[in-house]
Amino acid sequence: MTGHGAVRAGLAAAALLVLPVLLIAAATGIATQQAAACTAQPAPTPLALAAIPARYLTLYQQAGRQYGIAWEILAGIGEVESNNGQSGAPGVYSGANSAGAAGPMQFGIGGAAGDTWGGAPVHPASEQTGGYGIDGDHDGVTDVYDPGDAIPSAARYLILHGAPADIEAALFAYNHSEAYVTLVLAWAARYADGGGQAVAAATGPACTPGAAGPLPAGIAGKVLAYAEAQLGKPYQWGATGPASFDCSGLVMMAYRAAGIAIPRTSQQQWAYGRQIPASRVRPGDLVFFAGADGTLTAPGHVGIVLRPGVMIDAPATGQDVQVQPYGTDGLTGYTDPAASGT
Amino acid sequence: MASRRPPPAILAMLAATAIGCAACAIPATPAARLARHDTASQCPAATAARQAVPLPVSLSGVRGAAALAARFAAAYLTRPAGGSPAGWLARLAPMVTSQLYGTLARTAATPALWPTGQPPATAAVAAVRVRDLAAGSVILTVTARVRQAAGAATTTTLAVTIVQGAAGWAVYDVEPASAGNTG
Repeated sequence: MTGHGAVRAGLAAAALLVLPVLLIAAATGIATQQAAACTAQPAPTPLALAAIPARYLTLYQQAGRQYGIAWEILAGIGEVESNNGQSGAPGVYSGANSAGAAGPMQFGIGGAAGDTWGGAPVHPASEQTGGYGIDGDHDGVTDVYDPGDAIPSAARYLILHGAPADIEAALFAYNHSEAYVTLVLAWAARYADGGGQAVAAATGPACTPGAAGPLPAGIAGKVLAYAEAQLGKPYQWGATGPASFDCSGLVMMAYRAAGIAIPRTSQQQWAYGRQIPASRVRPGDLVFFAGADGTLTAPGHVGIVLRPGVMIDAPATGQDVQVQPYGTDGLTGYTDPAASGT
Repeated sequence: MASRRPPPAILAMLAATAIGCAACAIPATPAARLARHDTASQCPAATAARQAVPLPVSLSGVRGAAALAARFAAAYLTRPAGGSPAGWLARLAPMVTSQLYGTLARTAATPALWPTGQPPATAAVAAVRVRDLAAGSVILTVTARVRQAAGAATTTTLAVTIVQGAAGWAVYDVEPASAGNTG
């Protein structure tokens, strides 16, 4: 369901007061969004983007930023333990394996693996168990099978066992095997540019902007900084933030943060911006798709180009704002809203 | 993964509690509806909801956000006789975030949007509904009847996002309620 009609016909004065929000571009008077919190997180490699489910990648990056651990270390653990939640092995989605390990990050819930999670595998967040499990996604439940809880819990475990200063010791504590440490670091190196190395905590002097890599200057930098700061927030139809977004709501508010007013829906945004060929796409440009209920000429989905082939978007109900690769399937084209009218 | 948000049924109950519910007497005016439920005990279904699900915004918070959304929408859609863009903006200013103020200020500063001789219009809020709740944020839809001095009344519905700031609730954004993308 899309909102083609920004304003109903016949509303006269009422309509005139709604339209300006969509039409006016100016650079003054709007508080610009500060750069995303310093994260020291390297960018994912094409392999990571292809192999790691988007939700897991987002969760790894969020937990990495939150705990000051390179996200790819968490991804390395997730890869080795459960193929990033894609393994059908016992204990990943329910129960436990023969050692008593459970969930995508394979925390011990009893047996040989001990009870590192703490309490029942799924318990109310208000329950104090003394384990490492936390309610990372703040849904009120601490669930070992929920990557939204298991991944930040793993980050917390690593922090409490020496990371990021001694990541190898922390990994060894996680799973008492030198081979395990080597394997996790090898996957980490494959998943991130320059990966596998311990990074500075989020407040450290080496801290630089994260998943987007160095952000471009000017408008595009502000747009991407805003979009990056929204990573992990849920999709909500009709929402323009600050707690949730739909695809075009995220795009509109990212550009508003950069001092540029653009229309509200993806169909309107496609018609508004100056279209550009794929060969000239730059970070901060918009990429459009037919989407769930649009067409190639009236696209129903839009994302912000992070770099060619990768975008930040609010995908759909049940998914969070995330970094994800895009292809040509259903792709309508690209626009540069900042160049509209020029 | 469990949802971060209350189930839709809970939102519906909250909306009923904030604005008036079928199980309760519905006062005559939106303002009265909001005030009437300040005692918070007149809708058994909503009481049950409060007991069953922890909400990201308190019931009193939802009421406050709904009241602000109603006041804002009425002022946003009303153009009094002889009113100026500056006056319109001044009435909205105390209710909005600094970012939204910047957007509205440009609206007020665009002459084409304020044509000479445009008839005055008065908006009356008919309904406020909760669309979404999150920690520190409430999205409401506000339906208003807009009556022009010389013409029939029309109905419009706005999506108004309210956020919790240091000084209390503030309007963060206003959009047509029909605007959105499925993805």
